[in-house]
Amino acid sequence: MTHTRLDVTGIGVAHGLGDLPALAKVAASDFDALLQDVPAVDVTPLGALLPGVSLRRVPRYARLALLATLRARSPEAAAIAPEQQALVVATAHAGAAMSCDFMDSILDWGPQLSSPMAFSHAVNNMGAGLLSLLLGIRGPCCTVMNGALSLCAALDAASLLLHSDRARVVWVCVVDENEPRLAPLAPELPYGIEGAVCLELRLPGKAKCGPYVETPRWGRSQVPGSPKLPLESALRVALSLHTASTPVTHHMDTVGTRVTCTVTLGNHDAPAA
Amino acid sequence: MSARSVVVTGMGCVCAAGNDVNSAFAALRLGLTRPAIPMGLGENILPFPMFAVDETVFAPARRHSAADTLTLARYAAHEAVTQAKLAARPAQRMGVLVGTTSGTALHFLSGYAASRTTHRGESGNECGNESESATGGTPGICEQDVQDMHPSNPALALAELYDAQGPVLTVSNACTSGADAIGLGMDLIRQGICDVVLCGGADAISIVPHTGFARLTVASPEMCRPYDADRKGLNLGEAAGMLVLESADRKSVALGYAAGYGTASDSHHFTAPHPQGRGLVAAVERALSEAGITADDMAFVNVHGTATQDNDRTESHVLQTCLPYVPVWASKGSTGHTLGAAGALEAVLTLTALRAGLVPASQGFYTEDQSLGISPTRYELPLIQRQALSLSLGFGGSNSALVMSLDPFAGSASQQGARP
Repeated sequence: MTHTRLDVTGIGVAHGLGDLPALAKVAASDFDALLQDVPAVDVTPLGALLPGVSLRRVPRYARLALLATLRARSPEAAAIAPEQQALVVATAHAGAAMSCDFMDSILDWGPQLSSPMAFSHAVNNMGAGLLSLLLGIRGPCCTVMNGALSLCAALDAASLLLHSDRARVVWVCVVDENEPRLAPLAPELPYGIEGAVCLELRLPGKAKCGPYVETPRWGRSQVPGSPKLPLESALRVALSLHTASTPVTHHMDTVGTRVTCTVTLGNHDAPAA
Repeated sequence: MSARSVVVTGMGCVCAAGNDVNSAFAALRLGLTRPAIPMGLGENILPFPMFAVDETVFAPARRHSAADTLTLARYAAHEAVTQAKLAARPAQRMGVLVGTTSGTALHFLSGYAASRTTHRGESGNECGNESESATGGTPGICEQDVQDMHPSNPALALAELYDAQGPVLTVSNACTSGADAIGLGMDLIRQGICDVVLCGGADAISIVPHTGFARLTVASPEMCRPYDADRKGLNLGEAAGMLVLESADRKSVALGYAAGYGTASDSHHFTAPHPQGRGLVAAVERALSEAGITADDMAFVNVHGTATQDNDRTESHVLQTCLPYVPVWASKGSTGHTLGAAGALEAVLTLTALRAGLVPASQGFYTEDQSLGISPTRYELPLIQRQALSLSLGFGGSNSALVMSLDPFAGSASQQGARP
């Protein structure tokens, strides 16, 4: 299977414990602290990042994705023609709050009076659609939902888009929101986590510098303790890109199937072993 | 960009018109399918008809969960894989891509209703014990439909079923999901990452999306009439459409070719398409360019044609601009709008029509809307050209176009001849 490298030219996070250096400091002693009892993400910086843009009707799920993507977006990539910009959103449950709001409205008021606004914002690609609209991205905008393997699927999609000349830059954004109404339904999954991680990806430049990520390797080898939600996978990958000096491989599998995936990343600038 | 041909070696579908490709196409030719109000989805269902799949496909019964979408995906995949004879010719490098909306959505209303009861501390530790009923009748399954969710991810489940060791993607791009799954599958072949790709789309309808589209006031209370002057909106449908794509190196028996793919975003409005269809224009131009053809080479275009005011208006503008004089087939009058499955089902139907040398009449279309200036086929139309376009538009401003062809390099004069 052909595996290619993609340059990571930007990394952005939206997390309740702060930016990537702050998360790295916490993770150095206890990675699980990034996943438990974490404060809500502060999305107010969006006001400064998108001045003059009304976010009144933008649901929180999309705000998380927007914040991470804006933080990942480099000035060089932002200057690329909109038709050549692309976005891949990876998520376990998309707009979970709006989905629950819509189901609540059916159950509370009956189908005749259920909320059309909640339904339109509950569609799985709501995040990608809103980011496309707010950031002016007019190339391919795609949403992938493979459970914990969503990041892997997104990396493959990004590579396909770049290598087929459908885009010159792809923002891969992993996002999920905290929706307590889902907790009783699946207690084995950490629904209490919210946040977003965005990687700005481009084809390798001639200079070969900075961090890179390889397209995933798919298989069937389950490893105990692997992340069960894509946001956890994305945090691990982002932290490794930020801190690792030698290539790192992350393993992921997902609830309910035996399909697994590994992602290898590294840094061109790291000294040769 | 790689010039590897993408060969279609297997097709499968299940929809309201039929449980396999030949049955469905025959029914479309005869104009036999009709929508009905889906009382089986719940007693409180709103009175908007939809094109439902034959219930025997869900035997023993619908689960009203993501498992229903997987059932449809498996059904169509089985037909496609069997036709491609993959069991006798396994591939080391096989990928699976499935487009869907319901297959990954949080639409388990009964389970959610029961969890609300439990969460509020009222009685109801077991399903059906004084818990809320989602559908107004007897409370349905609760934990079951939630437990169905993870193993029912369609691409992951099919990858396990067919032991596909390559990339696995469940694509959820609203109504372009199926087309995008096929387009990315084509790229996997062209870039030499996979030798075989199983790709397509599937969506089963439950009370949640049925209610949602009705509340958005885009659903029609009667049979839908794409592009018609009296159109009143869409009818939902459920379906699955799957293709087996292979690299030409495998020298397989070709049903046809997936020749071009284009996708672009409007970045205009969250639910309404760009008035001039700028995203769709970009997608069409890219698909034609990839296939190496022009509008003059088109036998027909299978339009998205949902019968909503916005879609048909935008799409007609693009047809007038990019594809003037190309015959238009609006097939959703026979299948309904099958959401995540639509792009894939219509790719299957498009290639089937090319192979049959004819395109059926567009059921539901009677009177031209003068403001659109587009008349889909009123009668069966014999075909001369050997390639056709299938269009899809989706919520969030996504637009996708696929070129299906009988020839590996569409438009090549040297390839004219008998249909495979």
